[in-house]
Amino acid sequence: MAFWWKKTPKTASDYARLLSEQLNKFDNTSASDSRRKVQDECSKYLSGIKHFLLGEVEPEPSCESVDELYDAIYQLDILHDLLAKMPELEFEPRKDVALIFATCLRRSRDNKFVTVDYLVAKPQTLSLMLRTPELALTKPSASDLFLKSGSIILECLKYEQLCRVMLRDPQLWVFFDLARGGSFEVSTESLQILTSFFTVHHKLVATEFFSHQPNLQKLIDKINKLMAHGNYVTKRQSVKLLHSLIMIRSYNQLLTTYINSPENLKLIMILLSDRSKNLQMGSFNIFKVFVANPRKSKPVLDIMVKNRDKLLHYLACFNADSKDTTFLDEKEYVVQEIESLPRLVSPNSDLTLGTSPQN
Amino acid sequence: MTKTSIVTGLDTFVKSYKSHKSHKSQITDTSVIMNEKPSRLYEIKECVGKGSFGDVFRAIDRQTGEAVAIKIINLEETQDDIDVLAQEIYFLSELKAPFVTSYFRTFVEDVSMWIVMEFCGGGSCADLLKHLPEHRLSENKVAYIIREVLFGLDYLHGQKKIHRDIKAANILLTDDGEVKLGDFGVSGQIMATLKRTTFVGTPYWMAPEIIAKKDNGYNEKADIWSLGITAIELLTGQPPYAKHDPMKVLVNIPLRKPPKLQGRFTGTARDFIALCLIKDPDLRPSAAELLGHKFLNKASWRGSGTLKREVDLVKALKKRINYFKEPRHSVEDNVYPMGASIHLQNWNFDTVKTSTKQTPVLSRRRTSNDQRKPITKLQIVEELSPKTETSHISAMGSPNADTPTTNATSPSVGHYHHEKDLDISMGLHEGEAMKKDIRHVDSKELNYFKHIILYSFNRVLERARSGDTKLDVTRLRDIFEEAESSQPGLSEAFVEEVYIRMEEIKGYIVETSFQ
Repeated sequence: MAFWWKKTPKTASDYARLLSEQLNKFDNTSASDSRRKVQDECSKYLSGIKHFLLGEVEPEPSCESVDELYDAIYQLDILHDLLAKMPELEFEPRKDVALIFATCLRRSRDNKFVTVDYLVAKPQTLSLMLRTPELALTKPSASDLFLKSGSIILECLKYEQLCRVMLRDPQLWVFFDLARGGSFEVSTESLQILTSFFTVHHKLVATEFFSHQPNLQKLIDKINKLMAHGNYVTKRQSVKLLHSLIMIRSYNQLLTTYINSPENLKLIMILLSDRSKNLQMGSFNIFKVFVANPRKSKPVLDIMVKNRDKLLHYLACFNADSKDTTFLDEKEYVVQEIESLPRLVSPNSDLTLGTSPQN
Repeated sequence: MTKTSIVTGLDTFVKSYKSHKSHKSQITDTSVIMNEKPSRLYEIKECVGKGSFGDVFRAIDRQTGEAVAIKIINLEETQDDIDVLAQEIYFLSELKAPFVTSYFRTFVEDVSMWIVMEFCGGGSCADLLKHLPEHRLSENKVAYIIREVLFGLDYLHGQKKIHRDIKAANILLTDDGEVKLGDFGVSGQIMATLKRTTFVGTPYWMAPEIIAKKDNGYNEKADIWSLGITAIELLTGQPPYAKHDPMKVLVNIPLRKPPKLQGRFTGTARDFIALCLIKDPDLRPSAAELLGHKFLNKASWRGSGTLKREVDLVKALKKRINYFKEPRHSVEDNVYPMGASIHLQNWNFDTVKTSTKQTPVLSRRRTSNDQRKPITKLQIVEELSPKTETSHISAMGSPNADTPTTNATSPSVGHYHHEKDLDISMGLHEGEAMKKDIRHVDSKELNYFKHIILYSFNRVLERARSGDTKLDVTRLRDIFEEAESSQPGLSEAFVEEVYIRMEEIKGYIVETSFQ
């Protein structure tokens, strides 16, 4: 594909301009023949831009011409248009779009990520980006479109400044719904997006997201829903996400809020008794934090006391043949803690209880 | 919230979510949102391979009747992380070319992933080597296979992807004898400048730079080395050093000179393989460059064409010997069996109200707040149950009462209804004096034998009218006392059991009386 570049002696920025023109033609082209032609043109220019940016053309492009191309991409809002028109493109060019995004994002000048700075100033592009996966589900070949547009978001979330802008967009909550209701691809990639949102830039999330109390509670509710109602894969992935979140030191507030709620403990205990060994282990890693909490809230303590015997009985055979010494130590600790809980028998025993007449 | 309400909450939630989805009529590709059970869509036939990450089965699409290959990976058993497997799926979904096996879709059923792919009815090239009488292929057949694989590699490498496990077993054949690159279980994506450093592949076919783990990693050229080894495998029946221990081979590949094609072969074949096996990856030619090599011209020689004849021959041979592969995992074994609870343990999450269907609490914390509510609850139960009327008959002091026979401690449901001699629950209606007494006993002082067993026996004793009954009750009480002193805790266990049983029966009565 690279040879067309040599054949057409135009400046680098011309290709950005030509691509931009073609992308905008989609809006006014309905006949399938002419549509096909626009698609082909777009494919050609996208492939050309990709090879040019990757330096895969002979002779190797000069720094000036590469800069020129980048400038044209920014000026013509090509990144925005690519997102908007991605469903119109064919299979292979869509992959080029994702690759062009990733390459642009990596571009740095004077210790600054130029494309990142550019996108921060273009919130509407980021907003569109977050909506593209959901929109993809209404199109044919939805799964493929979803994965491609999702991979662009994943690339962006590597950069703190972009993550900051995107965290402010309520659209991020939609990925929880997509993680629960989707196909394997949709649900796993939605969870990866959420994991990137919350586990890459700790300080940012702690100071700008969790500091807003409603966000904290909403996140807990959303993750709980996934753990309670997702399919097997969603459950496993969301338990894993929750575990990594509460293990992040700067998310202490999330941890304390989580382990003080009896509703959360109930859910984790239900998962602890799931038939799946992996879910058992995943939820054990969260359950142990509830147990280890030196200042348990009363409702949480009540549940543990009420289930003291059941828990001890259950934990006795819990993953007993494991050879993982860390796990065995943790289990021993959990068992000891539960054993030390007050043992109380016979509720309502006040009915049958009384001082013996002999006393 | 009680446990049951969590469950019903779930149901309503699912319902509302489903109806929400159905309103979104603009969603056209239902495969994305629907999570159908794959076993309803496909009929699993025989196992056709044990891949690097799961068994592969031939299956029939129940709607179209077409054959597909389904790789089933048990996610409870596999060591692979779901994230890693998901990456493999994304990788597969990016490949659409005639030279690679197509990916269709993925499902999750029970705890397994079902990866639906294009079915290659002709098996793999390794199958050909195994079953053909001569256990190797002619140069022109090999040239044909290698050329098709190079098309596939050229496509892959153009996408910045590496296969990483090229060998005869991963070169698949359709029913018509066409060649497709398969099993991308260990394939990796390389970014523009990034090189891979992960150690994967199968020893005999591995490129020296992968084994040597040099700082600069490796790139798509590793596949070209493996292709050279595969060419030797196809021409001679096995890769070089096949008789040696794989770990020793592993150590030797980076140290030794590249293997050569031994035996009576043409110069072009030798030359082609020597090019693939250049140790320096930078000097090793690319897939595109190799496609121009003279050796591949043999592919269009007279009598070559596809491998249809070989495929048909092997199929017939396999049929004759009734050849089949035993899958590692059974498809039927479910972690979540039909109709069974998905949980192994029921926890007690009741706070105040006791669900009538549930086994009652054993270790309820006795707080002063807690105490009163259960009483009122029980009173309601008593009043509603048909038992209520008879239970008001107080045998004690009633001249009309029949001779008491003390079978009250073993209540069966039937007995419970008709039992008139003793009223165990009358303590409820005893009035203020009783409650005052109770207040003196807190949980720490609670002695199950003294406060419950002995107390109850003494009450029964009071109610017994004939001397014989009194004697029997006293004897029983003494035996109990003896048993308690030799088996401390017996009373507690006994009381617990009686309590549980009573609760169950009460629950049952409430249930049936509402019907």
